[in-house]
Amino acid sequence: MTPSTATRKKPGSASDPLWYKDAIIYEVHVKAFADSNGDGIGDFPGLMGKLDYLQSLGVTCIWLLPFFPSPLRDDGYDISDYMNVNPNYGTVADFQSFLKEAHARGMQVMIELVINHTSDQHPWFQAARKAPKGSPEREMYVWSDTDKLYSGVRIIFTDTEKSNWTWDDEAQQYYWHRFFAHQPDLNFDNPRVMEEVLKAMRFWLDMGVDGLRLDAIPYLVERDGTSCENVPETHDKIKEIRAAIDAEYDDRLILAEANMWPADVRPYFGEGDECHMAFHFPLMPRIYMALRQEDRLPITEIMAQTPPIPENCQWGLFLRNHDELTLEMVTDDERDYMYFAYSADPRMRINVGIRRRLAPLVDNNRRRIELLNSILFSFPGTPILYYGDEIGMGDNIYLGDRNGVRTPMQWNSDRNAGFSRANPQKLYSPVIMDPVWGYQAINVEAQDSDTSSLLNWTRNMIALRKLFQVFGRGTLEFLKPDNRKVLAYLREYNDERVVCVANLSRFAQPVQLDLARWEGMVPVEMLGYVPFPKIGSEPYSITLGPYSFLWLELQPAPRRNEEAEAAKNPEVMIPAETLADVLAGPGLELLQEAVLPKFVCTQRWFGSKSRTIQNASVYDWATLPDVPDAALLLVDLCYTDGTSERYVFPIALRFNERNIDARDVLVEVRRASDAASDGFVVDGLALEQVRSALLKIIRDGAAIRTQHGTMAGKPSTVAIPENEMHSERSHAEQSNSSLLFEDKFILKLFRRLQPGINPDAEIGRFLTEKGYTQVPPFAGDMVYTPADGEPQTEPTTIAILQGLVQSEGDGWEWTLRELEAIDGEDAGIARYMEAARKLAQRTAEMHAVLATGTTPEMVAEPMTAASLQADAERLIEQAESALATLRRKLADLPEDLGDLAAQLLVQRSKIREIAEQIATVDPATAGKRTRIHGDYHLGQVLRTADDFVLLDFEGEPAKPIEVRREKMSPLRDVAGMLRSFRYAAAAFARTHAGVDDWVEKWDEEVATAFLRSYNSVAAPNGPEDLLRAYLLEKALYELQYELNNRPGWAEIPLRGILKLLDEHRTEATRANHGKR
Amino acid sequence: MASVEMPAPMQMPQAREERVAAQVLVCLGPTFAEPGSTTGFRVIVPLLEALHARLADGPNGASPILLAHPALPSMPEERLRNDLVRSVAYTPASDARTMWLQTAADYRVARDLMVEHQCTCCLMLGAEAQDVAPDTLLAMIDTVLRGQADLAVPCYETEIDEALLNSALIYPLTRSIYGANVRMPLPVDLAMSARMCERMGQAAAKALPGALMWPIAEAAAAGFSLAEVASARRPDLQRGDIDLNGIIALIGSSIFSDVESKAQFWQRTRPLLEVKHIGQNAAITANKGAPDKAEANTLIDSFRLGYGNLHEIWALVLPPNSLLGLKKLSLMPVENFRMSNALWVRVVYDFLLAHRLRTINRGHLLGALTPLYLAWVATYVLECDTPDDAKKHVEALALAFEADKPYLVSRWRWPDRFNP
Repeated sequence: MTPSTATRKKPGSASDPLWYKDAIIYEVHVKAFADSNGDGIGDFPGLMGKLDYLQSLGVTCIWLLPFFPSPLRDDGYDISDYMNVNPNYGTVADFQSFLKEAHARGMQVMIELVINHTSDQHPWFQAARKAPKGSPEREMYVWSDTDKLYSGVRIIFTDTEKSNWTWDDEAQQYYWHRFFAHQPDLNFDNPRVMEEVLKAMRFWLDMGVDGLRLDAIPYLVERDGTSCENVPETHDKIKEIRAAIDAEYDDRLILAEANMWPADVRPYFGEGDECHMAFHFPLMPRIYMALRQEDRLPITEIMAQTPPIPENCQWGLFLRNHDELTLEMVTDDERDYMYFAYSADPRMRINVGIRRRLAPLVDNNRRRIELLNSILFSFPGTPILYYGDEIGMGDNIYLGDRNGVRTPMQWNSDRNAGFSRANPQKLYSPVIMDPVWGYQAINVEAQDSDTSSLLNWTRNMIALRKLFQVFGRGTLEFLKPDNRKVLAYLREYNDERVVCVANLSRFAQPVQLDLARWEGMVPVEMLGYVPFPKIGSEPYSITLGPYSFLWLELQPAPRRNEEAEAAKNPEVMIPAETLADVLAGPGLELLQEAVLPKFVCTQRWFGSKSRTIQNASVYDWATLPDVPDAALLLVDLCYTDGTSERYVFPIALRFNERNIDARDVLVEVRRASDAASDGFVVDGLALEQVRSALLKIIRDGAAIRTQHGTMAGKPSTVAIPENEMHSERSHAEQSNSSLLFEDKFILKLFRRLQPGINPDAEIGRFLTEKGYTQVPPFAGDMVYTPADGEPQTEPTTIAILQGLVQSEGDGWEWTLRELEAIDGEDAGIARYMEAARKLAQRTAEMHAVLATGTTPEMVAEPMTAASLQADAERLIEQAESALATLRRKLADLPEDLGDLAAQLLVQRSKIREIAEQIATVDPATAGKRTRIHGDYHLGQVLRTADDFVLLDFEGEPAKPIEVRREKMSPLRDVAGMLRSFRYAAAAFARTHAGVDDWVEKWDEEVATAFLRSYNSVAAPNGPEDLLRAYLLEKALYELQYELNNRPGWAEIPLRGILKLLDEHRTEATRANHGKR
Repeated sequence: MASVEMPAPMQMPQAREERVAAQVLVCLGPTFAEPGSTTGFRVIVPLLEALHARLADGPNGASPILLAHPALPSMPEERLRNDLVRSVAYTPASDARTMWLQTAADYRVARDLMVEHQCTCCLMLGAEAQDVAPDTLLAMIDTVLRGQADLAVPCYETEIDEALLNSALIYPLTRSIYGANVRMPLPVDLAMSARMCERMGQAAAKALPGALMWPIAEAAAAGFSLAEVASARRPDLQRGDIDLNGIIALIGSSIFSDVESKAQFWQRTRPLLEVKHIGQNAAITANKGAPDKAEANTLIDSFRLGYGNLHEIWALVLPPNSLLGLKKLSLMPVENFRMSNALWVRVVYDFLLAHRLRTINRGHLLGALTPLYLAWVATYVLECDTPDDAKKHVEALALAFEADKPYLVSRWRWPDRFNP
């Protein structure tokens, strides 16, 4: 199209060409909605007055049933003038006002284009009857001298029509009609018919109408020897209409009414060049069938028969409409079943269907109505609501034709349901008046003021659906749980993923869904924004109440919010006089149920924020000696997704104490004897007395009895002064809590307890006792030992005490400061390399001391083929896990990282190759396995004046203690430090522009200097392949961590991994060349 | 660079011969056209010259600056004679001149001028910008020109008792809703890339000329990059006659409406926006000393008065737990008076929801927020003696906003008032 023609196109009211995909369509008859002039018939001014209601309901498109001049023998589908408004409903000017007001509220308007037939009162037909045979006037309709032409074509309105031909005395010929005899079919073989149709269409589109529903579209053209349905020439006519629209208008819609099987409807979309939308007729009865049979099969079967449609096309979905619940598109057995199930009274049946509204069909059961609507709103397509169904209106089966579902809208409990001020006898149709469905009971006004009403429920559901484009635009995939009473499906669109689960049964149902593809993600229930347990590799279990449904949005697991202050319930209060009261009876229950789970989530040391706490229970506790109302609690936290964890909580009860930070308060306490008492249970570490008491337990080697064991201090040879030392909490620690005693000692309280001796205590004590000076002097620890007979008896380290080292900060901070100072100068780089050599020397010395152990826990062991194999497997496992995370997060990564990620994902086999190479290393050349640091990086060393002190031998806190105490190759620590240099370089470059070149050089030279210095001091620890494998494993671990916590940082490990793989490839090529 | 004659104040676009590609458009706010001002836009020239000199020395080479300044048809024609800075005049919206914040009209002007003159960076300056440190503006421009950010905003140092509506509402709400940790989300000075300027122009086109705009939210929704430049204190802005009620109504209504319009964006879980932080400052200072604790009495009295008069309106908006919390707060003696972060967060979220649902008239709603805000301020005054206290207090509040965001989302989606 040329720009000049493009500019001539008339814009629609919507700004998105695909607006209909996200639309909520509301089908309404003007005559039935609101009567403004008291004549008993609804009209456009009345409808206009209700636009605010429709807007508040969330409707985005109003579909008006025919409102044109008509004898009204088929509810307006018998049109006698295409370009006017039925005077009963108002004028063209009224329609224009309505259109303008709807557009002003962001709503589109769709009207009917009934072009298969007209009324027999249409001037065209009257002229045709009188015109000579074969004349253009006569040829506007389909005539025949015989009623045998097109024999065999089915009759649609079987209840009233005996033939598709009717004899006309005036014309002395038969005329063709697929519907009622008073609706002669237009003859699309006559070009003038199309001209007239386009003229009528332009009349309304020029006015601003946004959509046209093409009524009875499969029957436009007749051909002998066919069913006269869906003939190719009909598609040519539709294409002609569509082309005219596309050429002249923007953002308009045509919707096909073709009551056919999906495969037969599919051609009406063409290649995106016929109708934008088409109704999915066969789905509707099958939804009702599935509900009644409590079996999802009817739905999944029909959807399996539904072919894909072009990108710009959309299905129109509905539960009910102005016609009967059509049963044409079902088998005979299915039809019989539906009649038995939903139309016990024969008056409920008409033609080939059931003339009832939604609520009566499901026996006015609110849950069933909600369930069906949930399917309507979440299935692929645009939902179409029939007026009145949002309040659960009833029907009147004693009215003729389908008028029972076309009764006046019920606005309130006033006369005529608030629809009209006319004499009730004057209404176009009686309002529903029976005791259950009557307007006194069911009306908008009542439901509007009832927040629990069906109206408000529908309003909320529509608002929710509109927040997510996935419902209108996403793909559909059925999940196939064994329980067929449950319908479950996945909708996906861009990064939106929603799992919908619906229980079709009247009883509660269990279901297990295969969501393993989304392992690690968290389903969040969309209505209440409630996170469900994280998805694992096992089938995902859900229990659904009768007729209940769930919409679950799959979200990445929440990031760890280190200092998140959860919204505390400010009203929880425990009545107690002493801490013992708090730890017994109702106080304890409240503490466990309402206080501890919330408090722990606000603490930075709590490492499982992404998990959902099911309950907290105090496993054991002891009061602290010499401190009133203070105790150490051991609390088990059970999670919804598996294993529990044990945490230690020092707490104290204090009344009327002013200097307490609100962040340290767990809960308010009030004395029963004094309603004005102002007490709090606080984090004990906030109190100097509690801090001192912990130190004294270690210093004095004291043992305190708990309810189920003992807690005992054990000092080392390092002297601890007897006098009181001032103490404070350190803010540096993350996964534990540290207390500083003047500038002399640091007490580390392990918050998460794991059975077994903590390696930090074990190795700290070992190195101190061996006289190694480059670690903080180990002064003692506190260990909890359960009494005999307890389920778990292994001693557990609670706290350790170390001498405080004066330093210039940890190695990480120091390195960043150094990089700032270096600023690319060679002298600065050389200065740092010197420090790196010193660090390497200290590292090698530490490894040498660790290799001198003699106890079974500490003694060095030779590397074996089995241990190398285990290393290889660990690498593969880490790679699988990291790459799975990468695949899952791929769509969320910044664009520039996408390429890097893709490069990595295709090299999975290379990683496996590297892992397999480890397994082939000769164990004799692979050095020894010893205890190692385990989590070695720049943050774990302190920079002193011209040396380093090595810290924190706890290992990676996320791993179980037994894993952290395993003996491993010291090269793992080396790999950790080399990666840390790389991280420092990258972190620096992120905040400093233009430094990339020299920082990279710094990284390479420092790494080389470190490695050389280490190798010159340490015993041989194995070939380079081994180090590369450990580097790769570390980088993969980093990648996984960053993807889950700081996606913007993922670039660092990604580049690191790709570089390692590249080096491996180069070496492999070199080796191959060597072989040749 | 050749000097450029300033054309007569007139509607854009300007004469064609003016168009020499300029990299940086410096767009002065409408207050620079205040009738009767003895200074007018000329006061900014020294700052622009300083910028020009620094840009010319910078890695981007000489960067022509185009100054867009407001001019009123009623004012005598004024010409800028300067060898370094070219200028162009625009006609400010009639209702925008008394606004000390950037409005939709300002963003529309900026967008049109950016397109007209094909600039790559737009620096918008608010009232009294002549005293802003050139280093700050330079860093903002530089970040945008280097493509490191689409939007660069300053983080000015403030006194401990300043910018409290920002600390109580704008900052933590923006951070929680959009995941953008930018300390001052309603900047009067800002630098934008061409595409950011275009985005703001499009958003502004849908708004009334005097409406406030939320560039951080727009950038977040567009997935654009952000930078925050630490800066020294900005000179006080003259805010005219508007009182606290007026400010809360103006800003509250605007930010609540903006949040509503972007519901589809922020209701999805998204990774935190990375904000490039440039430079360091104290953020909060106490050069004028600690807040006067006696002020808390007045604030608490206002809150109690509000409780007496407005608690029935609050009851239409707030759930029972919050109402109970407020009742207890109203009875607390001054020395114990503390509005918890959790309570304030719920108040803000529930007011936001009531604004969306039009539970009551929006004007009345925001009027009813003022005494509650004063209770928060009283708590702040009582708890914060030092800048460090203030920083911790605001950070804790921001975290509370983030932690309670699921409550907002759940009630947004299911606004049943039958909640705890």
